[in-house]
Formats: sequence, C-alpha cells, structure tokens
Amino acid sequence: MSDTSDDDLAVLGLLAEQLENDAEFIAWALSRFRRQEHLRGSRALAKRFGISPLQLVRLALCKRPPSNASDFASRVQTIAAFASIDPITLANLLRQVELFHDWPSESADTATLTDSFLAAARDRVEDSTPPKPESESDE
Amino acid sequence: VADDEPPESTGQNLHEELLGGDDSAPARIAEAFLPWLRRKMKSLHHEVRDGHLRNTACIDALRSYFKNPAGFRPDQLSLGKYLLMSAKGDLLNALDQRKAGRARDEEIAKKLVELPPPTAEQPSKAELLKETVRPLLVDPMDQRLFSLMVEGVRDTGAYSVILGIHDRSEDEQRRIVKLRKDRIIKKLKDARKRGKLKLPQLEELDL
Repeated sequence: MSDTSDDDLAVLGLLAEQLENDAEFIAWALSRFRRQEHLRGSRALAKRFGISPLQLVRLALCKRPPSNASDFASRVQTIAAFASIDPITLANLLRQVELFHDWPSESADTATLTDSFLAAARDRVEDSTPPKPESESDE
Repeated sequence: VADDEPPESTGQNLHEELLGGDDSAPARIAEAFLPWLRRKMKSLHHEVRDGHLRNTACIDALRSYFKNPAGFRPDQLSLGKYLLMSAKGDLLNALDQRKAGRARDEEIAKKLVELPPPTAEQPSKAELLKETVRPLLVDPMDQRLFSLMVEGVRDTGAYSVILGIHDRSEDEQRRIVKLRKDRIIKKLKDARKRGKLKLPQLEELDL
C-alpha cells in the first residue's frame, strides 16, 4: 500500500466518507469523534493521532468493535496493528464515541473537555488492554 | 499500479476473512480492489466524462458488497469481476437517471418557451407568466434570463450577452447558460411544490 497514489487515496477516502453513516465501521466513530473534539477535516484528525492520511483511511475502513464485546481489547489490538495506531488511543476513541453519541451535542462537547473523564477512560482501557503483541502467545 | 485484476485467490481469501469477522478485511479489500476497479471502469467507460459518476459507482459497488458479502458467490466468478459487474450496473443506473432528469428538464424548458403568442383580446400568457414568476426570482439576472426563456429565445449567445460571458469559449458559455437555466427551472419547481405558483398557465406547463 506504500505505492498508493494520491488519486487512489482520494477514492479510498471517499469510500470512508460514505461509511461515516454506517455504525458498523470505524469511519462512523471517527466522524463523531471529530465533531466531539471540534476537529476540522480528516487531516486534523490524522495529526491528532500522529498518523498519516493513508493510515487514517485504513483505520476508517475497518469494522468497529463494540466496546461491550468480550473480545474488544484483542480486536482493538489487531486493528491498531493494521492501521499503525496506538491501541490505547484507539480504544479510548471508540469508547468515548459510544459513550456520547446519543447525548445532545452541547453536553457531549462539555463532557469531552472534562479531564477527569479522559483520565478515567485511559484507566479503563489500560486495565482491559492485553499485553503488546510480542508478549502474546495464542492470538 | 493496480492495472491488473488482483489474483482470484486474494479475493477469495479476503472474502473468507470478511465473512469470518476480521475487522480489517473491508479495509484490505478496498485497498486491493478499489484502485483497480476505478482504473478498469475508466478504461471501459471512458465515454463517461464525469469521473465522479464512475468513482461513485465503484464506491457503491464496494459498499453493497460490504453490506451483503454473502451475495458474492466465489464459485461463480472472481471478486474483481463481481465488483466490476456491480459497478457497471450502478453506473448505468446513474446514467439512466441523469438522462431522464435532463429529458424532463428540457421538456419543461421547451414548454416554457412554447407559450402561444399574445392576441389582441387577451393579455399575453407569457407576460402574465413573467409577472407572476418575477417575485419568485429575487436575482434580477434570473428575471432577465427567465424573460428570454419565456419569449422562446434558444440562442445561447443571447443569454451569454446578458450574463457577460460572451467572450468565453462556446462550450463554457453553453455550460454556464444551461446551469443558470436549470437553476431557474428548479426554483420554479420548488415554488410550485410549496404552492406559491398557481396560475392556470403554469398547470399547462406541467412544472
């Protein structure tokens, strides 16, 4: 995928955009996260996660594991490895979006800025995220 | 890059991974097939000058497949050919819809300019129509263009002069004039839907 042209990336990006309305895809979560965090455009989102636009598109095109899935942590690890993104960041994002997506936007915006929430979310993920892949034996 | 169809085995493996619940399978399928599909559709349908329409067809093919992967039967054809077939169908549907829309708009425009000429006994239907429609067209430029349409002027040059674009290429003039006319027709159709346009003459126009 390193030889992806700008045109290819653009058309993959369009597909990701189309999937923003489909809650089965991470594109859906990314679009809501962007709104919650007042980020303008996908480039700002990529910058926030320290990844390239291509990595962001790859991430968006993955299926979204629901945070209550029993295998949530391992699925997040797999997706994160595929898209080269930090698994804890990804898990936090998915949980935050699920937590707030039914809330009125003003409440969600306020809550998003609450440091204590973010800290709590990080704690939960660190508790549930399995060790790094090199220490895994059977996944 | 990606000019050849991805190997059949690649498609089959990725399809099985998608069915098996691999979260990254859609991304890998899109990466493997969408660039190829886009190029293939471009070479097969180069007569379609609107690249956006072709890209949308390719994207819709992928989306439909993700929505219903079981619709693809790997024992019957490759994933690439399945997606290509789907994209072709989507493109043809889109072209048909666009054609039908254009035909309808042209018919409306034709009816607008085919109003009977004024007689001594009754006021010109065209004049009446212009008076009725004018308040709905806020932009004075739209009002002037509409007057030409109602008077049956078909020559693009006349519209170009009003719009001040007569020094541009003929293609560009035609494109801009058509865009402005379409916009006016759409405004009238919307006004009719909202019940703001009720003249009997307009009933005849079938707006």
